[in-house]
Amino acid sequence: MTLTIDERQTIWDTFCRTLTSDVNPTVRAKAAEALGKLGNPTFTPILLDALADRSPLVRHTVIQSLGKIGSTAAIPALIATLTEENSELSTAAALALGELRAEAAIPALLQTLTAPTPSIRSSGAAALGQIGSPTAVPALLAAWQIESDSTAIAQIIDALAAIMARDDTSNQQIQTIAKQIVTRSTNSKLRQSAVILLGKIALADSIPDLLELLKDPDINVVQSAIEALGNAAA
Amino acid sequence: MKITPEPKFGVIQLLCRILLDDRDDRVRRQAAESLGKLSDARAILALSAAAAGDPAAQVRIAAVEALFLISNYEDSNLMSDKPKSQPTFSIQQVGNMNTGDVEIKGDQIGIQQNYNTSPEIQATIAELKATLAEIQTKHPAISTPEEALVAIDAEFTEVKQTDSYKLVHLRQFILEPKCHIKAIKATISEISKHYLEHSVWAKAIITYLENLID
Repeated sequence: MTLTIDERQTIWDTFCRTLTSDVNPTVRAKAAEALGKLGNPTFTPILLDALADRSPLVRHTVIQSLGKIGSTAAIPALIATLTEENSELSTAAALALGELRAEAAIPALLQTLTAPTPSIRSSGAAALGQIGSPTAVPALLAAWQIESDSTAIAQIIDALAAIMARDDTSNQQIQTIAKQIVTRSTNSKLRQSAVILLGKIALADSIPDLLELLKDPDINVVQSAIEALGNAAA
Repeated sequence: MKITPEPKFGVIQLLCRILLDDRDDRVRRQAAESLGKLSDARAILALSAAAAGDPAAQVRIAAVEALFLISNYEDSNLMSDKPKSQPTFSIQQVGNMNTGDVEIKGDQIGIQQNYNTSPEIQATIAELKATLAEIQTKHPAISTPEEALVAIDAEFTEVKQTDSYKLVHLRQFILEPKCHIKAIKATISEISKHYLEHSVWAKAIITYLENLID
């Protein structure tokens, strides 16, 4: 069964009309979700209009759908949404910008690394990792060493690993810092994350450092070192 | 050969009627969900009418989901080789089996990129679509505009006498055509714009609306 142009149009019209005029926010959000899943860039303008919807639920779904559709036309509006007061919306906007691989959003995403809300910092780091640009490395390294939220730390090291895999200069630079942290830092949470990062990139020459860490006073660090050895020696 | 019964179509007709007519929200929602599972294009008009006009949010949500499944069903079929459990048939074959069915196929009054038209006209067209879907389901055998007009006239005479939630705008048109001449004309032009050559029902509805303002 193939839909005719008219049948398809009727469905699209229904979604668009529901998104713009249904009285119930859950129904409008459902229409926004459907438009996102259809993944057609034709719907970017109507979704951008819906970013002004009065319901946060609708705006949240609209942001996710813009990320799914992947049209670069959505980038400026998503950047503007990063500074929304509602942290769920700025978190969603950061993730959408990551999906769009929006290089233009890098400066704004770097700002999120110092946001007061941990979930915004996490999603900002995740987005920077997806974009994978070396320009984010200095800010990510700085954020890593002062970050206290576990999820945000995990996202930062994931992002660093993603950039290391794509760029040799960054790879060297990040490795040096990670090894310094492993051997010198007194912060065991930070040491553990550095071990995990070294494990992720599976470097044979980090084996001596990792073996040294087996004597670490912190059981978590020892555990991560053993795990990293599994990767590095494989 | 005139009519070959096609069981699936019978089920779809029944579910569409339940979706548009049943008094219970949960029953209408279930009808929408089942129509989504069946993923048949012949349910689009009824689902679209439910998404636009059903008073219960849960039914409108289920209708949007079902419409998504219908449009997605086709896409996933394009990617995989053959649908697994659904019978395949081309539109040509359906035409040979059941002439009435082809007429219905031609009756979709598409509204293309009409987000500029006034909300009143959009709402009216949605109501028209809902009503047409309903009338079509009741009279699958009609094949001429004259017959269709008689059916529409009968249906709308009934609308005049019942307080139906679904047809707020349409009812105003029918009750006081003189006050809505402009809106009726706009509706006619909107339908004509997307008027399909073989569409018996579209032709009949336009005639009906024109008679209203004459």
